[in-house]
Formats: sequence, structure tokens, C-alpha cells
Amino acid sequence: MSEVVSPPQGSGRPFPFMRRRRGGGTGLSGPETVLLLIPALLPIVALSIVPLARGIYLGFTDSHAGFNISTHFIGLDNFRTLLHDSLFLNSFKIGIIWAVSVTAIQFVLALGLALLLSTNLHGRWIARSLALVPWAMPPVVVSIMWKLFYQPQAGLLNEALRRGHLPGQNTDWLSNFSWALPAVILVGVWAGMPQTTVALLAGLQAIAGELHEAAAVDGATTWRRFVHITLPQLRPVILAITSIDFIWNFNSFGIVYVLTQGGPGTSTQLPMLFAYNSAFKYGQFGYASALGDAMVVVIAVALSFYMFGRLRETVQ
Amino acid sequence: MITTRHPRLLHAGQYAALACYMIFLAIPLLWLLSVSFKGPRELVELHPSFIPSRPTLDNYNIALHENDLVHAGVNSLKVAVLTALVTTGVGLPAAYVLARTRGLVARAGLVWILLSQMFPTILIIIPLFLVLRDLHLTNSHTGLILVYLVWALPFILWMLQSYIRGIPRDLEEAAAVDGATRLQIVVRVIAPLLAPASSSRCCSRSSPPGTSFSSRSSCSRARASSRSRSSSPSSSESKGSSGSDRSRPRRCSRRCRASCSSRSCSAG
Repeated sequence: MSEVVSPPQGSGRPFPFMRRRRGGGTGLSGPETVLLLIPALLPIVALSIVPLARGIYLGFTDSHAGFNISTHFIGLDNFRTLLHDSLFLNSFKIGIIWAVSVTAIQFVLALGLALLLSTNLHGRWIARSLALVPWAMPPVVVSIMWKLFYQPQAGLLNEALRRGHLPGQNTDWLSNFSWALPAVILVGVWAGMPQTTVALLAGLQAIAGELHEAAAVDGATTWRRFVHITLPQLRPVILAITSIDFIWNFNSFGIVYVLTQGGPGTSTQLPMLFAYNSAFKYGQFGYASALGDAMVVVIAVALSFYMFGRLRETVQ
Repeated sequence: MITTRHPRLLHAGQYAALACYMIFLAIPLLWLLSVSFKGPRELVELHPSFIPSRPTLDNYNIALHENDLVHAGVNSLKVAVLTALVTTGVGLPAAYVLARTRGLVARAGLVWILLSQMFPTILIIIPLFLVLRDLHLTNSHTGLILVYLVWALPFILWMLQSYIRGIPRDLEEAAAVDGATRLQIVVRVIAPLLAPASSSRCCSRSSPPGTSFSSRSSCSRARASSRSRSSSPSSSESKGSSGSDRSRPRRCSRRCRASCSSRSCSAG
């Protein structure tokens, strides 16, 4: 093994590790790599890659729940049905509205909070701990909590509106066709705040203070410093966190399932809820998997934008 | 904050904004707490009050005794702890490979980590259920741990490999000079240095993987360190990490060197 890593003093250079990095030499022999990878590779292949491949394949079959039902390969039939299924198209539209608005609102709010937390205000530790609480709560508990908050008679929201003599005090927020989706989006924003805030805060703290000082000496206002220093410096973090948030929001299930179960009607039926219903309510495994395949395509498009952005950055 | 034209006004505005955030974040939690102390009649009253008029502990009694919350908690704890241990043990060597190689394997691994986030649960849950049923592992803790293992591995790999990148290679070289094998290096040099990283990972294990913040923050962290990686490993470490563990690698490196040299002395 000793020939793999040469002793530093033998290389005759001041920083041998830098040379090796640039050269791309691995320092790991083939058998070693395999030995080290096997423990992780086995469960990944057996329980992630193989089921995933099977799941993707199921989308091209007429698989149904139940015993002794043979499954046939039916090609693109599921996808043809999907394209003419108004429920599916509707759920996709709602899914996009949900994912985009939750991600955008979450990002703006989290950026504001991260900026506030990075200043030296008194009592920010309270906000800091509060911002982490949603992360520790499972989605089901978050939803139950907000259900209590939104409750039409005994909920806090309507009582506050009643005391303030504001309109909408008798609204049943989660069963109202026009209000259910915004109400659910607010919960999504609340639940996703901590991750985004923490990521942005970490990004903010990595920005060198000298940049701000130099700009301030040159007479830049707070706003100009924010636009010309903070935002460009944060760009990689912003790109990463928003795209990951988008993917997770698009695939999210628990919060909305507990809050509205897709109702009223289908006004909050996200794609995942639609897929869940087809698979476990109606037993159409094949159809549900086809829907999952379609979602992967949508997310792949979103992710390729992200990859493109990263790639451009590396080239620069 | 550095000079602005209206420092007072700005400060007032900042405090107002911070207060708004606190209200937004805290109100649902306080309401949940308030409702938990209300009796069944007060729960459906038309004009609820924030502070319960007749506070009662009945709800907690029912949850603890009738619904067996303790038993469920112990189950969760058992599954969470075992998953954390297994995932870290299985993930560490692979994360080492991902961090220290630049070849096809590492690239494929990183791509898989990203890809695995893309697939909706519905695609994997049906076949996974069929696999577990064939193995007679449904409705068992083992099955649950296996599922969690698969769920958590991408994140643990991502996070650990970003930490391993911050560890100077000199340490490994020193150990290799003293005749340590690759496995010994991973177990005896890398693993102890990663103790803070893996422990934070274990803490966040109890919540569902999709919601853990450490995994997301580690992505940004990896990004920050990859930006500055070209300069030198030590600067990437200090930029990527917070102040508390900044001094850590140096301190550990000294300890490691000492232990390595003492081992070589005894061997010689």
C-alpha cells in the first residue's frame, strides 16, 4: 500500500498535495475502491436502484393491485391516457403553482430572515431557535397544528379576524375552493423555512467582510451593497437551495395529504396525491408509476437548468 | 452594520421585521400548545381564547396512557438510533472514496446522489414494498431500518464526503508512511476526525430525511468549499466551516501525528 501515497518529503515540492490534486491522481487502487464501496453499494443497488428501475418499468405496464393478476407490457398507453386525463393535467398545473410559489415565497422570506439573523440585533437567538423548530417537526404534526389554526369556528385565524372586525371571519379556509390552495401554500412555506434559512445564513457568513467594508468606504448604500455584493456572492447557494427546494416541494405529499387530502374537489390535488390515489385507492400501479415517470421528466428539466447554471459557473 | 444615513430608522425597521418573523414562526406553535391544554368542550367553543379558561392535563394523560405514546416513542428511538449507526458505518467508506477520487466511480456516485433526489416516492415505494414482502420484512423494524437506510444514504454520503474533503491529506500520508492500510486510514484517521459531522447527522436522523436541515446546509457547504478548493485545502476548510470547528483539523492533526509516530516507534 505504501507505493500508493508517496512520502511528502520525497516529492521535492513545497506543497505536494496541490500537485496531486491538480493532476487528478486518485491514490486509490482498484481493489481498494471496490472494497470500500461495497458496503454502501449493496443496499443501494438492492433497495434503491433495482426497485427504481422496476418502478420506472411499471409505468409502461398495466400492473394492478391484487393476487394472480398478470402484468403486460403496454408501451406508451399509460402516457397516452395521461395526456387526455383532465384530472392529471389539473393536478400537474396545481403542482407547478404549488412548487413555484412555495419555493419563491420561502426563498424571499428566508433570505430576509437570514439577513436579519446575520446582523447583531438583540434577541436574534430567539428567532434563530424558532426558525429551526419546523425542521424538527414531522410533516403530519405540522399539518395537524395548522389545521387547528385554520379551524373555522375554534381556530385562531378566524377568531383574530373576528376580534379585528375583518372580512373573511367565517371562511372555512381549507374547504374553500379559492382559499384552500393559498392556505396550504402558507403551511408549505412555514414548514420549509428552516432549511432555506440555514443554507442562506451559512452562505452569508462565508462572504468576506472586507468586501462590504470596501464598498462602504466608497460610499455604497446598504441597498447597493446588497445588490452588488451579497447577491452575487450568494449566487451558488441560492441556485442550489432553490432548485433543491423546488424538487422537494414538487414531490411533497405529507403536508397536503393531511391538510386537505387534495380537496375541496381537486383544488389542492398535487401530482403526488393524484399518484397516491391511483396507486392505493384504485390499485392502478402501472398508471401511478407512469405518473411518477412524468414527474421525473418535469424535475429533470428543472434540474438541467440548475446543472447548466453550475456548469457555466465552473467554466468562468 | 456599517454607516448608513438613518441608522435609527434602519434598526427600528429591522426589529419590526424580526418581530414579524417571530410571530409568523411562533403563533402556530403557541396555538398548538394552547389547544393541548383545552378540554373537549372548550375545543369547539365559538370564541376561543388564547389562554385556556379551564386548563386541563387530560389530553396528555390520554396520549401517554391510553394511546401508548411511550411505546411508540421507544420504537422510533430504536429505529432512529440503529438507522443512524448503520448508515454512518456503511456510508463512511463510500464517502471516503467519493471525496478522494476524481474518476468515473466518484462522478457516478455524485450523479446518483443528485438523481435519487429527483425521483418521486411513488416510483420506488411500490417495488420496494414488493421486495420487502418477498423478504418477509414488512411490518418489522428491520424492514423500516432498511428503508430508512436507503432514504438517508444519499445525504449522509453527500455530507460526509464534503467533510472529508476538508481534512488535509497529510494526515493520511503520515499514516501511510507508517504502514497503515487504506482501511486502517479510514477507520483510525478519518473516522475520529469526522466525529462531529457524524454526530450531527445522527441527531437529525430522528426526523424524516427529506426534512433534515443539515443535509441541505451541507450542500451549500460543499458548494462553498468547492469554490475555494482550487486555492488550498486549508483555506477551503476555514471558509466552508463555522468558527467552532475551524481550529479542529489542526488540533487533531497534531494528535494524529503524535499517535502515528508513536505507533511507528513501537513498530520499529
